[in-house]
Amino acid sequence: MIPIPSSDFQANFRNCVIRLAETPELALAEMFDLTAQRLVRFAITITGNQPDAEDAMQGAFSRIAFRPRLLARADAPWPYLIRTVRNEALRIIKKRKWTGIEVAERGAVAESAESHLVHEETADTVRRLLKTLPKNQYEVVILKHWEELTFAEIGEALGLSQNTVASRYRYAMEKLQRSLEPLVR
Amino acid sequence: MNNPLPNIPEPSSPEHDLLRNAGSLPVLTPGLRDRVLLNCHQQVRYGRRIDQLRIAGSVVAACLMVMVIWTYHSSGRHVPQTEPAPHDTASQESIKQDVPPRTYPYSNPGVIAEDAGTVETDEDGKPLPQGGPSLRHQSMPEMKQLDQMLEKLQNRHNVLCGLLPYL
Repeated sequence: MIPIPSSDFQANFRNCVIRLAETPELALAEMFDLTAQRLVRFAITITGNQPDAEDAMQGAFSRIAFRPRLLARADAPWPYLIRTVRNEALRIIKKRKWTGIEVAERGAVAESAESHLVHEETADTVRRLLKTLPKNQYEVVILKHWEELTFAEIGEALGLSQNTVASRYRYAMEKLQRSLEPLVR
Repeated sequence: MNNPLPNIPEPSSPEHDLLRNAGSLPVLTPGLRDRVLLNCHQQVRYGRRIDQLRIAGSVVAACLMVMVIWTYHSSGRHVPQTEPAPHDTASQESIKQDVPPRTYPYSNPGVIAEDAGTVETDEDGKPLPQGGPSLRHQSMPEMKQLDQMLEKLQNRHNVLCGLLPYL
């Protein structure tokens, strides 16, 4: 599926948010079509698997449907929605830890990334390299490059200051650039 | 404090392109859309119902407040006059006698409006000289009793002072 350009996406999303107060059912359906894949992609970076990421996205949509005004009144609606998904994903992870169903996926993925680095496709390699980053840096890089958010918007989404976000991004990129150099050549 | 923002270049290098291209969108589970939207419809309805209940509750609370305030005010206007409880006059008089006076018992010797029109005369019918302490208080039995009490207290004071040894 071809992703919608960022400017069009932002404009379409804002239209959905405006219509959310008047016709929430229709606006939510349109919002799902517009954002679901992006939100699941982001939630996977937290939960580590798609089913949990989809649950997190569903939980976020439920919350928005229950109180549509919260999103409609937000200064930056898209970072607000990302933050809602993130909170849901973190809740799912916490619940998973409480119930003892721990998915030790990140470490396993990192190890397999080390062993299969040469044979994977470029995109897969990059994704695996991204997963070797500390989680807080990983999130920032994902939001910066995949969701094309500004540092201020990332700060809004993660509940951090702009400077903290920028620092994490800088450290992450320093690490990634060393790993990505062979792929660029 | 160093500001990290100016040192960060805009994402335009080949590494950045690699990162951007790696972000392929996942294929969602079939039926997820229907499941999520069904859940959303339920939540919208539930949210509306909660809002309606909240509004209704607020209206009821406001009405109750108005009723309570109105009842309070109306009851405040028509407070029934409670009749004073019957007193034991004898005991009241004894209390009055025992209680020492708070102020000096002599009244202001100035002209009293009630006495202004009356001129006291002697046995020959000549008017008595005006001024001096008013004798009005002496006509009141309570004042007389108070004077007597003061005299008694003064006498006791003198006796007690006489008993004290000279230093």
